[in-house]
Amino acid sequence: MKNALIAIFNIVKKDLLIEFRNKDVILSISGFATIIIFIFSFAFDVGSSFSSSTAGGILWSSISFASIIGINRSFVIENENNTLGGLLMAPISRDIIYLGKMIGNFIFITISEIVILPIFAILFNFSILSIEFIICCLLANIGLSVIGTLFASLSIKVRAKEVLLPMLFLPCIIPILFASIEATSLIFQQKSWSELFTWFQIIIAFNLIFFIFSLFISNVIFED
Amino acid sequence: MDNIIKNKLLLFSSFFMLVNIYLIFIWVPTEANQGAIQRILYIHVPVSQISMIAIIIVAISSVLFLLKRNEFWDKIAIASAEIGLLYGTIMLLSGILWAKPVWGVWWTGEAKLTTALILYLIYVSYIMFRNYFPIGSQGQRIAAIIAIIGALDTPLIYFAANLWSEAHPPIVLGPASENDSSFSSSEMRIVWLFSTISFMIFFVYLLRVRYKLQDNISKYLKITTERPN
Repeated sequence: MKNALIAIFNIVKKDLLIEFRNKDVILSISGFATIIIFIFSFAFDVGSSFSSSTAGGILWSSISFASIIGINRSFVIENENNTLGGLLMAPISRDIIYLGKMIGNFIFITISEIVILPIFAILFNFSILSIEFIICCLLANIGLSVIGTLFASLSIKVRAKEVLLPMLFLPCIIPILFASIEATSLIFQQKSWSELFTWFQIIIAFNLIFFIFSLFISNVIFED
Repeated sequence: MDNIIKNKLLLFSSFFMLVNIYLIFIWVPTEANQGAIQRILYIHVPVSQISMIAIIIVAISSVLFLLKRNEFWDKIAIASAEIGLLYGTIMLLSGILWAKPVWGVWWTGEAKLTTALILYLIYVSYIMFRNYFPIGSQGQRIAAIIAIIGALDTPLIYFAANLWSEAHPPIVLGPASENDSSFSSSEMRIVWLFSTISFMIFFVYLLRVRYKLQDNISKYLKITTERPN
């Protein structure tokens, strides 16, 4: 158990070190999401009567589109530098590799949101400083990183992965999208925890099911 | 033997379909509420049911392929996915054509519709993935994993879409917006059942043809990749 934790820590540390030197993934996620939010702010009539559910939809659509580009980038870097083979030859099980990459991607998405959310709050005039909203973001980020890392690892060797990966990823994250859009809308309307919890339950169920599935299937994904 | 089975299936299928067309367009009485457009449901409902069955076959075949690593299951999976996709396309198009005059809208955010569309998109991606992946066992394994992910995701998508449509009720108008019973008489239910059987026989025929094609493709690839230099 201790060795597994050390291995996961080392994989995350490696990814963070590479990222803080290149800034590939975080720049991709935050830049792309910010551009989409800007475009939507022109496309929709932003004002005091702007619907909270529309705002939630714009936010989570932008983060979803941007996340898959960033998560894909984290595996492309491994492929480009031929480091994936080295990672697979290490004396650790495949689920440890998956966990390490997943945690790294979760951190990248969360850091990117530190840039995206204030821009969103300014453009759409919504308050994002609430504990409910932070919990919603963290839960959704876990889901995006679990399923994103799974799909990115599946499509390492496929051609036209930039097209294929979003086509696979976006339909599969519909439960997270629905739940986080609706939860965000309820948070902006300052609804109670009991109404929010129904939507959080969907995200938690999604995260658990796919997290456990990914751990089991990681040996098959990285099989020779 | 193989050709005899294939020809018999084709014969049965053709016969059933011809009788089906007669029953749908001539024999069955016109539904009082929806009018002639209701007849499209004798195609839409069976095709929807069979496309869902096809998806279940893909998921089960994919699990069996991963467990046993027998290429038979992989061929069944790809055959079922492609035929299921064809049936899914007919389902979506016939549904849209029925919905506009009956509900007053082309599409609603109802849970069943959302789930069907999302599953359809997942299976389009599955087939694209299979075609874009380099030839070999790794592509087969990964395609099987994608099929299982789609199957696992389906109940979550349905549940989330159900909650969503309760929170944002779709606005439907038109003659069947209040009353959803489209097969009210016994003749209609007979035709619906017959149509289901006809489309199921046709599905089995197409599945067999596609399986044979995939079998020939994999034999050809084995010969060409094993050829000595």
